[in-house]
Amino acid sequence: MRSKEAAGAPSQLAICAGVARYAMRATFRNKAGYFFSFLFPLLFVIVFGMLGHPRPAVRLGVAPEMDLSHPVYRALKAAADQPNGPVLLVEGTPSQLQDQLERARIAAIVAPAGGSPTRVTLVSSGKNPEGRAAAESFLKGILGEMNLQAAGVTDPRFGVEDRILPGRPTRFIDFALPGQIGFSMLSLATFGIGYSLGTLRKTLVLKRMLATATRPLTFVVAMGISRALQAVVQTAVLILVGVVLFQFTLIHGWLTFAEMLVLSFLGILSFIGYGILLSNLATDEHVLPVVLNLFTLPQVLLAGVFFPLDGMPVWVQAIGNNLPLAYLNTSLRKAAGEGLGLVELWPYVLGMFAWAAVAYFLAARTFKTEP
Amino acid sequence: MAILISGETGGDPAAGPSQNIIEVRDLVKKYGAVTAVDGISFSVREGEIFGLLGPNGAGKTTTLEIIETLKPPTSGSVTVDGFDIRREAHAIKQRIGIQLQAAGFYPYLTLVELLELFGVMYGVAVAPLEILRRFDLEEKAGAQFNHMSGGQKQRFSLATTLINRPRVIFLDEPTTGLDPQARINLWSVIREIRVQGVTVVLTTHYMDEAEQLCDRLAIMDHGHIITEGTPGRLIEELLQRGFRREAEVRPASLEDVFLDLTGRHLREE
Repeated sequence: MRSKEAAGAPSQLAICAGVARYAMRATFRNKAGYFFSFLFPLLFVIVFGMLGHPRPAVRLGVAPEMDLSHPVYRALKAAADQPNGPVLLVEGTPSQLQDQLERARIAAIVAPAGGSPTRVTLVSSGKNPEGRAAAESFLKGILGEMNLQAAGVTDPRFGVEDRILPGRPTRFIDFALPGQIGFSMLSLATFGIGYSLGTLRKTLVLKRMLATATRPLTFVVAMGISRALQAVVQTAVLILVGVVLFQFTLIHGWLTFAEMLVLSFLGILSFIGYGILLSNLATDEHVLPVVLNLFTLPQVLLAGVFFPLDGMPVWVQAIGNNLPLAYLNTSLRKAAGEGLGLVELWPYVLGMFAWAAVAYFLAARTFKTEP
Repeated sequence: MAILISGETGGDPAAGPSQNIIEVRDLVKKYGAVTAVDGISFSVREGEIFGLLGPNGAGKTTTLEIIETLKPPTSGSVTVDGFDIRREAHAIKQRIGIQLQAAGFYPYLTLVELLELFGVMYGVAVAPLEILRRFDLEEKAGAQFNHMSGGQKQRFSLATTLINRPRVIFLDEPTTGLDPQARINLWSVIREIRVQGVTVVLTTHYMDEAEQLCDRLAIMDHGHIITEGTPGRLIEELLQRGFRREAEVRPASLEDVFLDLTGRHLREE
């Protein structure tokens, strides 16, 4: 009699590793597809990076009658000449400046004060109280320093020193980039795996592959790992673009970078699990984008991608903060901006694991080989 | 072209030449209210080429997919090489090769990579170039499946059915859509596979193909098997029932004209 044992049934682990390897090779060979999957996240990062980048400088008009040797003018000019300086000087005729002031294009106009060679007049518009406040506080700062100097005080008794505690990122890019990475990876991962499984089903590739010794869960996990590794490569590029172009903060440098990649891998793994699950549930290729959007859109809105959730009702925050994308976004921000390590971020890591476990369990249970 | 299958070739000494490798008993498959397969029974002998014929919707593909353990039956029993399809599906998968009707392969991989991938999925070592050489596809080693001609695709598909050194292979309409030269070529490939001791079960819509290739066949319609036997015996039975063709059959057919004018050698590449 023939042995009833499946002769040398292959290890599912070996199959999983092999399938993941060839799936990855296939994706990297599709160069155009791979490039375009980079393009959108890259555009998002660049656009949002530019949005947050120049800290708004105070735009001050300089009246034409201002003497170039006026001490206040010289102090202003020195501040404006610094790279990324806090002030921008705008010159023009009185009517041009008047017009710009009316349209809030400049915060105020600085003119020499009548009767004093060292004082200035600040002309502002009642229409733009914020501009006036900004111009006034900036000008007072400068005048204060000039007065101290004039009085010969080099070591002022009263003063303020800067100390920034870790907390909410103060720069927009530090808030925006992790959100953009999470958002890009969410849509890339879910839509990418969803559509590619749809094609593999339609062309009977899946059916043929699962007619071998390969079990559905093995195949599902292999696809998840291969896609997640590719997405991690993309995440790395996005972070580097953020660092190079927009001085994105990586508190502990390469260590932070590596931590962000590990976090991304976990987050993406769970997104892919949901992509697989939803592609199982979609009855045909027209339903698929709808269910994928139903999964991704609420997260884009509620998981703190574009804006923090602080202004939302408490119950919305409770939901939003526990979505898989929120775990990824928040943990990325805390790793990059506050320097928290993977161990300190355990609630988020655990959360992403939990979401992923549910996804893969259900995806393997509902897996189908045909459309 | 020599199709050599390394390793075992169905060498169970206890198995006589006429032992059944597939046994189907009272097989039923229902999809909701529709009965696709309605209580069929048949068997396939080891080492033969067995044909399953019938119009579209007769239940051929469903029957094959149940035997291949890709679909569960509603009732009835099926054994393949002594293994039960319900309880020992994984053992059966290891022992059979499958060509699905009009199936594709994983995109963006070369033929060599696809064969390696199948090796991984079956847990066997493969020599991709050797396999491709046996199927006259050596030059296409670095090509992708989607960039090949119809005949090449079907030959490659056939090659993948042998990766796990199966005892039975199932071919679902292997020659549909091929030109006459490619069909004749594929027939000789299938015959050579059989010579190596592999049992072949195929479906087809071409009666000349069934007559040329099959040792035995069953004709299905509306989920039933209407008749079963060798091609020669089925024709004999029809003649005995008094059937005569209306027109005198000429000693040559249009296909003979076509092959005489265009030659029998492969054209695709």
